[in-house]
Amino acid sequence: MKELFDRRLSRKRFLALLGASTALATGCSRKGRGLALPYTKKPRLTPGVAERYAGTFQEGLEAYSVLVKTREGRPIHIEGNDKHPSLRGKTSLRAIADVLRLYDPDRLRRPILDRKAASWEQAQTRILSGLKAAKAERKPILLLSNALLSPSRKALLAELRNALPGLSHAAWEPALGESEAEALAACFGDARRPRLRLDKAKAVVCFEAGILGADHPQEIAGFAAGRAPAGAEGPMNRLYVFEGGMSLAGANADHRCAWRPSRAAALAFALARQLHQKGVPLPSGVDPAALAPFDIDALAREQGADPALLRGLADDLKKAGGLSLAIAGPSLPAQAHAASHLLNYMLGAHGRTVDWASSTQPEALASLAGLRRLLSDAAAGRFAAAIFWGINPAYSFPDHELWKSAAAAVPLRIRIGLHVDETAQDCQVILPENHWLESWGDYESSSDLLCLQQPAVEPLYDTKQGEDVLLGMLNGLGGKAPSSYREYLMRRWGKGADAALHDGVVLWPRSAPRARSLNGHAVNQAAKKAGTKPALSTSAFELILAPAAGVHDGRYANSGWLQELPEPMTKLTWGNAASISPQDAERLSLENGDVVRLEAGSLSVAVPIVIQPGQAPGVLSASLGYGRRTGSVARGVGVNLFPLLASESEARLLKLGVTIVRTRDRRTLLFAQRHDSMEGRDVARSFSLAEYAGRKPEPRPDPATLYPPQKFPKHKWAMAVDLSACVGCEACVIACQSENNIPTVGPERVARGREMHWMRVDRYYLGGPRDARARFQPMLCQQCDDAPCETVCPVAATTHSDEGLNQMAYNRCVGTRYCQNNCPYKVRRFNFFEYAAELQAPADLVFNPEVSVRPRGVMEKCTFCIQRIQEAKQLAKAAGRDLREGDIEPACAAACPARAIVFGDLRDPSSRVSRLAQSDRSYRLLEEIGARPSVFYLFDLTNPREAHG
Amino acid sequence: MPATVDRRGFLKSLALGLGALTLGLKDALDGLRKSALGGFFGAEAERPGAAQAPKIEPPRHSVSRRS
Repeated sequence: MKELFDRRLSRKRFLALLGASTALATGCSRKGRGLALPYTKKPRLTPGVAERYAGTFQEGLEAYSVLVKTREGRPIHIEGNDKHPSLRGKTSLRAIADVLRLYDPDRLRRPILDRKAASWEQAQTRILSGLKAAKAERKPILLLSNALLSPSRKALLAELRNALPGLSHAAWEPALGESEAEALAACFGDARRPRLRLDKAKAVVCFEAGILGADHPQEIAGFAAGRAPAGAEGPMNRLYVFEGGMSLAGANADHRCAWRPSRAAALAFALARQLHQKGVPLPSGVDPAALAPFDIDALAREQGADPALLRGLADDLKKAGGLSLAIAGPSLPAQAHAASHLLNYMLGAHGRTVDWASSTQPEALASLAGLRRLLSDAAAGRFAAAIFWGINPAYSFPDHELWKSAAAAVPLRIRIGLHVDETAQDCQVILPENHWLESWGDYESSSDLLCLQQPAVEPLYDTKQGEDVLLGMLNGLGGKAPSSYREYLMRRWGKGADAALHDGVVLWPRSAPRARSLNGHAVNQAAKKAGTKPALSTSAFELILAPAAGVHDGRYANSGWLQELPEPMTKLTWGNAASISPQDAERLSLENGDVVRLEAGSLSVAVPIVIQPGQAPGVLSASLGYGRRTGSVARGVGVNLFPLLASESEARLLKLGVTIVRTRDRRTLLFAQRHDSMEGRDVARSFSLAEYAGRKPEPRPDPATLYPPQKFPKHKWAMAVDLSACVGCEACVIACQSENNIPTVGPERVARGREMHWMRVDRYYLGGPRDARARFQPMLCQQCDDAPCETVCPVAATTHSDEGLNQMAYNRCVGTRYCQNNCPYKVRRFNFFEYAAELQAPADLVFNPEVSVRPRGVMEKCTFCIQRIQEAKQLAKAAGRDLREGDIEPACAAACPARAIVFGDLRDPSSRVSRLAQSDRSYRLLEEIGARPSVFYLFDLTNPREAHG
Repeated sequence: MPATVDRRGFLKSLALGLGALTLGLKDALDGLRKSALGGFFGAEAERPGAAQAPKIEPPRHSVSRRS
């Protein structure tokens, strides 16, 4: 104090006192509290809290009910709808991936009129003047669309047809076969499709039927449910597959025979004859003499199969009776489908594994010949206007010349779609369409269920959904319909729509199964056709065409996720190739990547070759949907094989007499897996039921360790993967990519092995080239307790949590990649580039805000979806309870249609994962090296006849 | 001004001038491509209206699982 009043106060001291007193004065000031008022209009979103909307993803004749997760208004992730009675929270792989298309930078954002940006009013005026002129001149108008599948869309089209009598509508699905509907109509009088109950089936025989692809979640779930050694579902099912190409069904079969697709019908009829000889009666009207040409032994010899196996199959089918199921694939001709119907009918499967109760009259799709007629009419100048809604015939219609002349001859061509695609480039009016996540709708794929669609976000751009455009046309022509499709739907749905939209599905009472009588005459005719053996020569091949597992018929080709998703069998990314058997490749001196010309009649397409173990000699198979000419991602990736559909054949997707002409070209094939053998290691273990029964439990290796024992005071997270249930569909891969902001790296970097998937499905081949078998093993970070990656990190960027998680601190990582080198499972991924910065806006809107976007130069890997663990903890804490079993489900487990992935707390002995970890089927990968992984695999079980006969 | 030109200085000026000319030409060509050749078939064809930013709004009439 004395100093304070001292006249000789130093300047420094004075300033210190001044500062302190100012701070004191400021700190002690009283702040206004403000007013806390309630919202008069509550914001529609709460920052940081996810909203979920039920919706429906439609593709062809299938509707997949989904739940769309949004954050801050952005849809970021799609899962199956838990309220769907049969899918129960599972959905198609492409439904999960399609959230990316919402943010596709190539999306159309406003109407285009004569190649110039325009307003909706200008476009509407142009369209209405064209339609009115056509109506006055009584000239017809063509409307081409994909399958509608929606009762409300159909009603709207009926109203439009009333207002515009000349409207001619055709729905076309370019990659769907026609023979299934043809055979159903011939055999049962209408094309109602039954639901195939694989969950009930005990003996299943597939003829070229890829029932275990990721777009068949219901079939996968049913099949996987029957793969437990002994459970509530009864004994394990048995799957026989006869196919030319190697499919996931064949890879998971208990018995697989490489079989020419042209002889599949003969095999099915031979089995029917064999069953008849064993006392199973034929349906009335089926002539036993019609089956006489089909000798099972002769067929087995012809196809190089074991006759005892075919006889054993007949025995199994007879034994299973009504719990057996025969399925013919979409590429096979109608006679093969008729033969399958005969088998199911004889075995009493109708009403049990062949469920007609929910069957509905499917929409009549245009055949290729029908579409050709329409386009020929268009080329002849019959139509005054043409509307192409969704469908992209300029790419997928096989006769490009006919398309060009048709497009040139129609005065007004209107395109409703997401992109300026091949068809849009031939149209004067291009109308930007909503993505399905911005749209309203209802879909009916079975008679007992209506799946509803509601927007998860308002339209991102100046776009409208196709139905709104049609309503605009209807009202412009004097109709009295509501101005928006939402209102139109609300009028149809009536009261209770909110509750239905909450659930996403409306259940109707199931109708009593109608007795279906099989038309014996149709079966006799089919048998007559199947009895004619095609000329088999070593120079001519049979070619099976199928929609691609990822990009389907090309409509998803601009999705980087789906382009980079490995094809489940070949593991090929970014393109397609024709699969050929190792024997044929050797005979023709072909290697992977050699480009050949496939010639079918006068048509020819150059395509690279991929050698596929298990492929039937004389059979080629290839995926459609590639070789698009537009799209910044899709353009130029792969080869367009649609032109080959134009060649004459019995079935749209099966071409006989295809010849191979070798060219000098080679193309680099981009494989996500570059080694197919386990090299004698027991990595993906598999045992037959008999081996399993006689197996003594092996003591778990317990290598000595220098690590101190780890303590997990609260939780110990772990995962169990049932290899018996896993079919290798890769739904988990896409779900993980969507949840964890995993970048797409592009073809050049895949070629260098720099793909970034945190989850991959390893596929290994066993056996010889003809009887090759495959095993699948989902592979992710094993979250080792004594993790080899942690000890080598020089900056401690990867450490172990007290809940058993192997964590990454991205900010700490300096990118030495020591951890990647030391990981025995090769699951760590390095960011060679700033992938997120390479994204074109607005693709970055798909990012999950709960997951860090990793920068260049850091390592990353699976986290067991730690963000979901944390969220579940917070929710449990808010609810004042402990975490419960099922609270946490990583994205891969949530997406797995086979329910092969189980996640939980190993510290809870009653948890499912604890019980599975203790199962006598459980093992840990490379356990002998002592890393003590937290992922437990349950070895695969097969049920071959020899073992269980 | 000196009657003679320094060779080094001359070459430096020449290089700079050529560089500027090249860059200018490139810019001019880019501009031409975007305006005259652009639109439907040019770079804009892939992304018509690329400048239009998306607007994110939660759906007005949908029923979320939380509601």
